[in-house]
Amino acid sequence: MDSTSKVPGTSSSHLLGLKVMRMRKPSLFKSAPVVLGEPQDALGRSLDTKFLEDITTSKNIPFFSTGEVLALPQSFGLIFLGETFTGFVTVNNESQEIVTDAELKIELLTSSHRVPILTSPISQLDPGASEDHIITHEVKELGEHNLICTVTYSSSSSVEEFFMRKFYKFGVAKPLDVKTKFSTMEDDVLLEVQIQNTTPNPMFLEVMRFDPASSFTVEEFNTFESRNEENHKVSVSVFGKENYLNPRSTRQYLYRITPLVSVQTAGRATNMSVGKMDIVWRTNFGDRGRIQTGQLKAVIPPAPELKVTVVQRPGTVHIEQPFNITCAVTNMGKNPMRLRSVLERQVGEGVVWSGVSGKIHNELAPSETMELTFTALPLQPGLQNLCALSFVDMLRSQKRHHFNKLGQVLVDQQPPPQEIHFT
Amino acid sequence: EAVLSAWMPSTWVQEAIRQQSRQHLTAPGVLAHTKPGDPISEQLAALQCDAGRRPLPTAQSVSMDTLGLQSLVSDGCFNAALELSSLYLSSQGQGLGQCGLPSQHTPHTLQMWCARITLLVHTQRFKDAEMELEAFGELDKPDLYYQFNPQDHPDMTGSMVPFSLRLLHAQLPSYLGRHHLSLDRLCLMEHICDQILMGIKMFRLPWQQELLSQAEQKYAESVWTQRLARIKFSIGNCFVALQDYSLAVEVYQSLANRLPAVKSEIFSGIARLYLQLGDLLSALSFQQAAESTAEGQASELLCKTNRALVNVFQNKWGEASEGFSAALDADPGSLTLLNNKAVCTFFTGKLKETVALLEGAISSSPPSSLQPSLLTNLSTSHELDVAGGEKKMALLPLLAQHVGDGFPLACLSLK
Repeated sequence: MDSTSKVPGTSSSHLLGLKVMRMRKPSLFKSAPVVLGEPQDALGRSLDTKFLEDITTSKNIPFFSTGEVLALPQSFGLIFLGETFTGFVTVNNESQEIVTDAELKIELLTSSHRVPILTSPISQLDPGASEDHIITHEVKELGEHNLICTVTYSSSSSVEEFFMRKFYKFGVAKPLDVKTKFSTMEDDVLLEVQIQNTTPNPMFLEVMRFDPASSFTVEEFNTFESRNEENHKVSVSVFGKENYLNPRSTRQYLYRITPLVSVQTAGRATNMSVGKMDIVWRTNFGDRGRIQTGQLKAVIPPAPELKVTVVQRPGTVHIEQPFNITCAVTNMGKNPMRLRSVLERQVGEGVVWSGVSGKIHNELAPSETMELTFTALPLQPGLQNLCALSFVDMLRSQKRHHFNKLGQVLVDQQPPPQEIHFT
Repeated sequence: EAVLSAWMPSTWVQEAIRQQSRQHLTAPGVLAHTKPGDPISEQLAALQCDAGRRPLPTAQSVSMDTLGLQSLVSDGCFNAALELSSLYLSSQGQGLGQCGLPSQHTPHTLQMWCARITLLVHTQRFKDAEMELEAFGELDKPDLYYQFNPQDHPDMTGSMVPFSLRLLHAQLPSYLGRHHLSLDRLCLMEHICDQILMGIKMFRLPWQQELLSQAEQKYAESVWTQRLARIKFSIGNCFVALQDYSLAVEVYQSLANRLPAVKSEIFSGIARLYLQLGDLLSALSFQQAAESTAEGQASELLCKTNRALVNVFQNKWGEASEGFSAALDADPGSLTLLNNKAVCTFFTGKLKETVALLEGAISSSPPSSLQPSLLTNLSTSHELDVAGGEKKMALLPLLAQHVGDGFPLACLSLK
């Protein structure tokens, strides 16, 4: 760790020594390069024996390079936003005198905060004795961090109060690059989140979740149902069995955010906070990191005044055989409506309406739904779009509501089997 | 003998052998200066320490052949062994300063080269090893085959290059960070190995006209399946170095199916990889698989160490330390378990206890307890001790008494 000892005053040698070491998670020693030979080789069994005696060589499977021996962290390494800094602090009495009335104070200074970490009084420290502490701090800011350790103390031989301060600087880097993209689909908002691992090590993604704000619900499209070996239903990630992200790799996650009806404003799109992403990952031997994005803002589509959903229609129809479609028409607005249905005709479409267009229906009160049945005639085989419908509100100066995404039908080329009547 | 030397040269080499072309000849020579010194003696002298150094054999004090070589290596005197190899190769026209000069290749010179490269790799002198292997190309030159000089080796076929040297040559780029080159070489070796095994199933060896007998076939099959397994492990290790854990696990799992005797150990190894990656669930499932495959006492010991490793993952240091203690009851004196217990103790904040455990382990049964990994951990914990430097130097006399000239003194990080 970078350390500059700042010793104010004239005394340049302190009675106490202060050392700080970052306690990263341990790792496993890799075995030495595998050099096992064969018995007829010049080295015979001589080097083999030495290699097998080394405890970092995996027992019984010496060719396997990851050993069983834990290694203490040998360097500071890198630290990322969202991870927890754990440090071992030791204050040692290096002198022959008894140190009294000591106090160890540790603070963390970032570009915007001064965070107290530890304040510990030490009543007495005999020669050679030491006081050890473990400090932890969840790193919540990027950039340079400065760990300031201050020890004030006096000794048994003099009344003077001594003051010792050490600085340990370290930088905090960004672990993930998170990009969000919103798009609208009907009444909902689609959120695409792209994350990229900006660390030099693979990350195991433990939690990747969107927490919606109070007036929204979320549906995630990142897992699908499957059956495992015991034929139990399991949820499988779309990314496959392996749930880790290699350095510089990216993944995209998809969420559908549905606003509760009360939130949408009629006639106007609004910009609202829809929720935030919560990401938890693990690296070496379970080192945990967590970041949350701020509240994400999206444009919510305006509330529609009239809602039309197809409640009944056949999936497959036969060519040139008419079929019925039933629609539920709901008045989502605040005023009653008197609707006139207009059967639209589009050139080139494989399905046309069959019936009378321009019918005026009964008055529809707010929040009321009426069911209407229309007849259609398929003219072309294959997967065909249903043609469009329009509703004109007679009470609101002929306001037209157009619906052209009513769905699709599969048109069979064969005529339906004829019923044979035996007379 | 033919079983061990079986190999399949590439087409241009086969042509060159047939035509006895002298165009592509291998002309190796010793390049690395391996001074026959002893780092520990030098360190003791630099510190003006009186500690006695145990008598060390040198290249001159043993016979200049494989027996001498083996005795030096068994004594831990790798520097002396390298010096011996250099002297031997010089006597054969392939020593220092003789690189590029034409020379005769025999199975003995190639075995000495194999020993030399092995020692260079073992002592982490990867660049030197690469330099000296350059003259050998891809170990597939015509004059490296018995058939090239039929007058010297009548009735012998195949490659004079020891299989171990081939494997080292393939693994070496990975130690230098060039994992993809290693993978290329290893996959080629795997392919040739597969072909030879297919031939063995039909009682045939490449270049041999006669069919193998039953006994010969069994022997050949065991040799070559072992060799194939070694190649596959190396491929798995390469994937781990590349951080491609899914491919590594695939390779290791296929090995577990081929080697049922060590299935439990392989599954434990895969579990460790997952712990290192951060994937607890996969690690747990492999730990369970390992425990159910192991039997009796081994299974119990495995359970305890697995639980302890999971506690390490979950930051439960106290429980982890107790877990390793419990495992030590079943396997007392295990340096690995002692080390791991010490590491857990460190994380509970008990520095003095950690140091005591490590020092105890190191001095428990020299020389076999003088493990570089234990010394590295001790050295790290001494970083927190003002008197750490002196305490490390205090270990020198113990080392001086037992280890050879090839001991990696760097693990103590003395300044």
